[in-house]
Amino acid sequence: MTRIPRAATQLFAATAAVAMLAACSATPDGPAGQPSQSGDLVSLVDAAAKTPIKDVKASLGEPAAPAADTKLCYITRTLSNEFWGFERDGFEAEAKRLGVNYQTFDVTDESSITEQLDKAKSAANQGCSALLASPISATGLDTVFTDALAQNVPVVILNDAKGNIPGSVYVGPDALTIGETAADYIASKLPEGGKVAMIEGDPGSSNALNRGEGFKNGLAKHPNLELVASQTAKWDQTRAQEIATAMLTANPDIKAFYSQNDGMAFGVAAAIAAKNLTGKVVLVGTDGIPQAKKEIQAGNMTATVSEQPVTEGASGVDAALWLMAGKEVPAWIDVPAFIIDSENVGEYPTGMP
Amino acid sequence: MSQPTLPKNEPAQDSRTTPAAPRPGASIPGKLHKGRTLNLQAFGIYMAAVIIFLIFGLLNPNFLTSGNLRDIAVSASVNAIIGLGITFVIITGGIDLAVGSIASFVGIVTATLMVNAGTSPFLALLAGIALGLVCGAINGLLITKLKLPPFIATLGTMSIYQGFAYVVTNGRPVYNVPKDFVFMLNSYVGGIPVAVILVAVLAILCWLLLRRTVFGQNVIATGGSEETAWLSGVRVDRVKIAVYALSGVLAGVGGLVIVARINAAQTDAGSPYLLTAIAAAVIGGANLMGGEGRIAGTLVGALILGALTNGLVLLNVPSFYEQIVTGLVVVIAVALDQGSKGWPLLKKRKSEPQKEATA
Repeated sequence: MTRIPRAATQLFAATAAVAMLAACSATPDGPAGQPSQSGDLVSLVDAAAKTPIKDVKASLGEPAAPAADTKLCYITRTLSNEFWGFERDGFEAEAKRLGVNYQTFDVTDESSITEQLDKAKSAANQGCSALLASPISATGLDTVFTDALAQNVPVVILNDAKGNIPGSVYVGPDALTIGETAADYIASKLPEGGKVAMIEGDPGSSNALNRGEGFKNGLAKHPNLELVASQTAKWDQTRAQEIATAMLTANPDIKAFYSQNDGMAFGVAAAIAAKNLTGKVVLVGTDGIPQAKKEIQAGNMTATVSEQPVTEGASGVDAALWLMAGKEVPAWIDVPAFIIDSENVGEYPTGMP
Repeated sequence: MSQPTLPKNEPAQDSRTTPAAPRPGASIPGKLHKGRTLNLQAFGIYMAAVIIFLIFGLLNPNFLTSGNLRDIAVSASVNAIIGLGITFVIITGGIDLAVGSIASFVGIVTATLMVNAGTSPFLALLAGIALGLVCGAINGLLITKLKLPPFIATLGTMSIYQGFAYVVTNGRPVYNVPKDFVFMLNSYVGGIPVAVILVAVLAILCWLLLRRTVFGQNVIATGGSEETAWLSGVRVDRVKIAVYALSGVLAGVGGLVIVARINAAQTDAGSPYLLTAIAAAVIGGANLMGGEGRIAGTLVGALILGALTNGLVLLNVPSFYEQIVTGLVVVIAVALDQGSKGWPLLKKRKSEPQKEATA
């Protein structure tokens, strides 16, 4: 039996040896022989600029029709989340409208971080004229982006996970502003103040972190609002319902809930209804998916901070084509989120903006 | 599929040196044809791999390019590493559901050590591997000393380790992983990805451990029949603890490769690998009833899964269908495994199933 430890130590020693060997002799960037000079793409992207999409469109105009063999690749997240479906719809509709070839790559679920990386690599191997992506992890696709930019392939990041690779363009809202917008809206509905609770998304997601931080920043401006509970439901409706029920039991006088997405808000709405508090407790969701608008019309939800995934997907196509035509593009094309409540919900009958 | 004559049977010798007798159910159907015994699945899985690669190659010209094959190998690496450990566990008749959580936990701890505590990447790597060892050993202790069924014990620790992974950083991902660490596990040596070299080295070590040491024989004996193994003097508890510890170490190494690949540690980055690593081992011929498993089979299983993901992407198949195909491959592989030892349809022409794994 003395052989077990010996075998185990051998295994360790060998592993360590390999690791050291690799550390000593590895080449830093990608496969040997690949050119790594950064193209003029990086200089086209104005790193400091954050410009609303309307202004960008006004100044750059309709993108010029690209060469016939142009192909845009969009690496999205899971299409089982309808939000990414709308993002894709915007991307594909705009590509179709402009007569550009396109392909969409999706992944299994929100934890498929390395699967997304593998698919992005497959996409890049096939040859893409531009890479559009919605990374699950903020840095997860960085190696693919760097390689693409080195070969003068534009990189456009759609919604969430704004990276810091020089030369990449981010198209989407400011998640901090989303949280802040929710806080301001709740303050406007509760002039006399009161207790507030937040239902958080997956703690590892940058959207959850930034929306939460923005919401707290927003609450700080309204001292009569007190955040008494904040828990993660990991984007899960059922879990949100359980958590909201427990929160209402612990603090029956909660006046408002902020949920970091609409799916969880439906769970909170059920919890509120079970306590016969529908209409008495302000409930603000995030995203603005179609079902949320129905719930707002039915009076089960007060409002949602709506994003504009279709606009983002389409603007991503425009941004890629602008870059390919040599036009200067801001590093952040802002597609702002906005409040939908009972007053304007009628303006958005189907789909998402 | 017409079967006989496959000369890949050198471990027949191994099985005779195995201290314990094969499982009671091992010698059932058919007659023994010495010298031309066949493991239908061992053959089938390699054929299946070749066929899958050829079909994708025919359907998409990009598939068999060296760059793409290298990407497939890299994408299969984490499944392969974790799958190697799972193979040992499955051979003992157990299961390790905690591997995904251990990968996440080790990844986040190692990254936190480097980024927040300033530990050198190499020391942090060793600490991560040690943490994997401890997590795995705890699984083994729960299973042997508290007599918990492996499924239950690792179901519990899966949740516990995942919880710890969240607690370490309060759920936040760790970015800005030192470049030295990334180079260690995600760079290229002479054009070959380090992750692939690592898989090759680990696989050879695992094969030697399983096939050329007393420990390996004891692992197989334990899975064959725990009681017989115990009666023959195998210290079954120690074997099991060591096997789960090994699985923990390899899960940890897998977690470190994930961190290097995505330049960040995410609190749940390892979770998707639980089922795919088990699938890799099972496709490769590991039998959940114990006693059987092949190192090379697990590698091929991981490669098949990687090729499926990659190839279906190149063919623009939506990921929902990809999951259906992956599931079908698992079912077909295991069906072939069953077929190799007495599927009613094949029974008439059956030759003696090869109990021993061909690694």
